[in-house]
Amino acid sequence: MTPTRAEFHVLLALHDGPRHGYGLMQDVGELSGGEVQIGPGTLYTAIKRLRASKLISETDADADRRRCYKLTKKGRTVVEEEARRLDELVRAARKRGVLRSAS
Amino acid sequence: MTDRHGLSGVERVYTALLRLYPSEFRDEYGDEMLAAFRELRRTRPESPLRFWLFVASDVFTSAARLHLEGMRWLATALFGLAATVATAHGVTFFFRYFYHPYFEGTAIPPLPYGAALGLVLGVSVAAAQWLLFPAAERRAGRWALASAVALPVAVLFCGTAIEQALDGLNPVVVVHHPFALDVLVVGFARSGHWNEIATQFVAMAMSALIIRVLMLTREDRRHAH
Repeated sequence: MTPTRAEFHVLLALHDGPRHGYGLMQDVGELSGGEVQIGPGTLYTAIKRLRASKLISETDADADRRRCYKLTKKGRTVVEEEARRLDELVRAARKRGVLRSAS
Repeated sequence: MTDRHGLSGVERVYTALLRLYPSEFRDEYGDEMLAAFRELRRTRPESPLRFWLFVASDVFTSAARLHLEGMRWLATALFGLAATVATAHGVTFFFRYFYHPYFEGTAIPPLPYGAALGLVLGVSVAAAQWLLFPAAERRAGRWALASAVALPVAVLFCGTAIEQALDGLNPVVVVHHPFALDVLVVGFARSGHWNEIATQFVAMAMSALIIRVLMLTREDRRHAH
């Protein structure tokens, strides 16, 4: 499964550990430098799809009894593969002068 | 000001917007979405107009996506049916003519015939769907599998039933109803061989399921490595 942009951000946010819904919304905003802002609708649509694909699963509720989600083994593999794919794309873009090298 | 459920005016508006989502989704995530909305409203510093524009666009786009996904299952099912009918036609013809030179005039026992034909068809349908369906749809099991199994079973059983009724168990001689759908229409009126139905159903369902399980297991293994 190739995750959509919002799904990839959710997977990325969960890479550090379990989060509840609102925590994920905040993390996605921070990870993207504020560029990607997702609302509850987009977030829970992504959660539904990721759970159906067995990339994330529900875990113990937090102290405020909010449902939390965590990456599954398969989800970890998918997010790492997708990150590698994006990294290769960025390298290719640099090689062709589309992006200037950071160094 | 809150109502008897403890909801403020803006929360009531958001609860009303949640009705745009499919009911299953709302039942599963509605409360969490309301809680996330509450937090969002508390922490986003922008003007009310910008806030509601953000919320409304989020609700409309995600609700529309969910409803469209629901319809994609239907499209998958229809496509599965079309692929199944085409494959059933092709395989039925192939099977008849493949055996023709060797078995003409021979009465083939119905159970081995049904089982073999069922297996061949199950494998063919599974392979056809594997090739034709986009990767993302291959796990959309319920509809696709139902269409992969149900129609060919009906078509093939009716084909066998009508052939047996007309030609004393020799499936290869029959050319009275060369198209599977013709056979289906006529077969419904004359079928009655339940052993053969069961044999074909089991053989085809088993082969289709085995193929799917093997392919999905291979995909899972690939993800695991």
